[in-house]
Amino acid sequence: MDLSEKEEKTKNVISGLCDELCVVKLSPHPLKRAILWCSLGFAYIGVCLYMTRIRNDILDKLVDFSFVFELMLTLSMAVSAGFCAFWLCVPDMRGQKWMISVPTTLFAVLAAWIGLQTALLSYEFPDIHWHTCYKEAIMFGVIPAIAIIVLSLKGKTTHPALLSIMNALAIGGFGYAAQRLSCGSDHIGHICAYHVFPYFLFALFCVFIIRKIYRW
Amino acid sequence: MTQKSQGDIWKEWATKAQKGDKEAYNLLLVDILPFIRGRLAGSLANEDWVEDVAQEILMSVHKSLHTYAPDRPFRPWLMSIISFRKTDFLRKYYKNKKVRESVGGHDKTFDKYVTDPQYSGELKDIEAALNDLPEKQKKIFTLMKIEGYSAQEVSDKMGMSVSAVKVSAHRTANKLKEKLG
Repeated sequence: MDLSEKEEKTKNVISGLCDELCVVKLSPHPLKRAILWCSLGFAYIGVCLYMTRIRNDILDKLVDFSFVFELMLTLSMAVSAGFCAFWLCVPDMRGQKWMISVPTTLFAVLAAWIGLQTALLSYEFPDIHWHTCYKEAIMFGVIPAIAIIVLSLKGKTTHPALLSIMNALAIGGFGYAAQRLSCGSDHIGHICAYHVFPYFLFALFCVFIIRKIYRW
Repeated sequence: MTQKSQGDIWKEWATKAQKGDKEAYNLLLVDILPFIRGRLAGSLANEDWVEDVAQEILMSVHKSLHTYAPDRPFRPWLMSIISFRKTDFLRKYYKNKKVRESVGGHDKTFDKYVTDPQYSGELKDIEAALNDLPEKQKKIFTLMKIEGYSAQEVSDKMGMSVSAVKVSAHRTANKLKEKLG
């Protein structure tokens, strides 16, 4: 097909698109979707924690600086990544590209925090076997993950990889925080093997599989 | 009275298009097309690609019209789609191993001195030698070695098998070598 034929085809594409046009239902503001997802996420995890168990020493832990710092860091990463995910569903992110730096910075701090603990505290990697923490990781993660993926698919992203990473950070953050509230173990080896590892796998799934779903 | 900028006009047409105004939508698509072509021309190797990607961008604009917020400028929204589609096109292109190999093959053919003015006499000799060849052989050689199509693309165009295309191009190259010494 030579160039003039292609230009003719482009004109045909335009007239075809004009014929197809009907009244468009505008996407809601990303803030609305983000608030909806975060509220549902918090409510769901609250219900899950109520139905399973909250760690027995929670009152002591809530006055432990390092525990509260880690919890706040994780939750703020999850919420900011959730917000970013919904802004990413708009092609130009409504001009708010700076938002990406918030969850990525928080994630870097969290990774450094866990890395520091691993280096300073005695690290023993436990034997990997099926554990109730894995079951809880699935329970805390699956429903919010489905919700964020379904809501993200309603938009049209121009950054599918970044969107899938934001999904992973949002789900990983919520799930990790919920597991720290439900599981009584503070052993860094246990945390890495049973709390971080499932969400690491989920992140890989997002980066290699979910990213493809967001292409359009 | 202040004159509206191009961005404001596009914004107005896009907003009308979202309400189902086909005329405004047609004006919008026709008006953004030269802008899209202009943005692509600087970064894509040939005009065919520009036209292909421009068509994809127009379809993407159609698919994502619901994500455009009327309170936001239109141009950054469009630029994001242009950039996404262009990157997507190049990613797919370079992912295709056959094309990559074909491009590697062409590197040998297109050595730096081929376009050097001091060799323009030789270039004319090659053109003359090509004109002496049968039409089919000439076309295959031109498509593959001069215009940069892959063997697969040429085989699709000519309705021949890939191996037949490669053999023909190879034989033509040998004939040209013999003719040109």
